[in-house]
Amino acid sequence: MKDFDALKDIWHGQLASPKLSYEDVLKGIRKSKSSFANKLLFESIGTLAAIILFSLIWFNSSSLMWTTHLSFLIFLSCCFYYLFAQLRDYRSISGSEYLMKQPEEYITYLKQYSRTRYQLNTTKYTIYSVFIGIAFALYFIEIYFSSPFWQTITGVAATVIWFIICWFIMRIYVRREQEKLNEMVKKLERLESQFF
Amino acid sequence: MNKEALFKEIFKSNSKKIYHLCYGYTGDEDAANDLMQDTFMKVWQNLDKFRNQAMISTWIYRIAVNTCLSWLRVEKRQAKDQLTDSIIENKEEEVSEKHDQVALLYKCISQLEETERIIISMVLDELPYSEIAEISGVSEGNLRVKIHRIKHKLTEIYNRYERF
Repeated sequence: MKDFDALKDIWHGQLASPKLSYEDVLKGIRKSKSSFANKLLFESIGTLAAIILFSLIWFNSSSLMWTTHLSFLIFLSCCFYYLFAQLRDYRSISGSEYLMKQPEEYITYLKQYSRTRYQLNTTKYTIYSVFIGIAFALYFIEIYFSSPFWQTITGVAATVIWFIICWFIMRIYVRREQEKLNEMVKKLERLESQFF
Repeated sequence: MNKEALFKEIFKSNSKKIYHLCYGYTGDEDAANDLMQDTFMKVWQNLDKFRNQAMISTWIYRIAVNTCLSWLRVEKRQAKDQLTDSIIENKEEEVSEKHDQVALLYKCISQLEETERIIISMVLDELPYSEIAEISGVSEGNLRVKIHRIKHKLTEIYNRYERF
């Protein structure tokens, strides 16, 4: 039979020590910083390229119908929104103000963050897709009047197929995200209850 | 003192305790190293905010606790727990008695609830109660009661295991 002081002696006699040195941590910081920056850069460049492309097509085309102007406006707004959402998300992840809060507050923040992230990946993505769909529909009105019929039909069919594929993938993704969120919130709530 | 030198000093004086906390929380050596690395990465990122703090270690512990709490990969953890158990059993004869006792102690800590693991790791590392209260956000009065209960629970689990 051992008492708590005996356990304390065992604890202090342990040889277990970290495998990491401070140089390893610094190396890890540089590596994660560059991968973080690369991901951010890659996504931002992609979105910016789309914004430039849409702007060029929009401003260089003459005699566009009002529906086409509206479709470009929607496309560009969606791109800007995506860029803004990504940047805000990254800033929130790397933000440190919650990291130093008391554990209970930190758990509340994690719960809120998980819910926001879920909302961004599900509800907001659906709204985003609906707007992109409307923009395509508006764009095809001009195509219908200015191009051969088969081109319009092909374009519409390709867009519809693309949307159906995305919808199926998103349905699976949303279900998984929902399960993950429920599990995470349950765990965080269990942790939260341990502080009382 | 430049940032890197300050970080080196902070790492040197806190890494072992933070590692013990992470090890106590996860019950797994690799996960403990990962969590410790995460903690010190966050410390580096916030080092400028710490410079004028009187109790840097309290803030580091706070970051470590929050990092541990956000570690929620239960599936992975369970798999590793089983692995750790089998390693303990297989190597039982090879390793020293001291090593066995430490491994058993970690195994017992892993049976506690998450916040209990965090608190007991700090108690075992002899942090003052006031500091543990500051880090965990639990009032000192409440903490004393909790610690008393956790000590009793841990001792009971350890003795139960040791009997077999």
